[in-house]
Amino acid sequence: MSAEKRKILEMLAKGTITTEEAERLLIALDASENMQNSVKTVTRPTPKYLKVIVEPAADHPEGERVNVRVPMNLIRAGLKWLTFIPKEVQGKVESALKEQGIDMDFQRMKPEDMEELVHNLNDLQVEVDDGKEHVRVFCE
Amino acid sequence: MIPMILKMKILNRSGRKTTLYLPLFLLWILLLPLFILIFAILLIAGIIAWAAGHRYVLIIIPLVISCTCNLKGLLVDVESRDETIYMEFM
Repeated sequence: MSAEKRKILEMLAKGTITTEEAERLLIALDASENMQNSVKTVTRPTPKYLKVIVEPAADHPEGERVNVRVPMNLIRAGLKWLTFIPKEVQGKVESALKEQGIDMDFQRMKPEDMEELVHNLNDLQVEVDDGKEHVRVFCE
Repeated sequence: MIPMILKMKILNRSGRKTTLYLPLFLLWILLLPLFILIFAILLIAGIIAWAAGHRYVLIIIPLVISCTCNLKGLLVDVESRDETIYMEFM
């Protein structure tokens, strides 16, 4: 039994609160605990590596196999090099991204945006199969 | 964490397998005095460049250190019909 529930029962025993009030408090407490539990299950661990795996298709066994594992901390450190991209190149990249529907401004990018970008890589899952090779990009 | 060992494996068509464990920690120890010397020169150069408006020179030092220190865990494994190359920073 949690400390909060015990306190409610003590208050009920002392007559500080009525049975109805105690019932309402217990229901509210249960709802709050359930919400906390659901939040805990939604929180996923931060990925440690970005993996790129290239495998040949079953009918092309002569193809190359590639396995690259990049630590997320290296990606974080590498993203800081973005500031060294010349402005004219940044403009070209931004316009190319805009054509793909991605609105990105390198000049206004803050360290917390970079962190959010890396954190959201957790959802990244790319699979490309061109018949000869199968490419998978994911985080683990 | 800074990588301490670089593990390399090369396997060629003839089946000859070479595994190398390069002790990077020895390299860091050897490079440390040189790095301290270069760091002092770079710091002065960076401050002068900062005053002249070239701020990137001073920023580049922590970025290089940061990238080097975060190499641990990097793994590259390429396997072709003729050769297999495996490289891991440990």
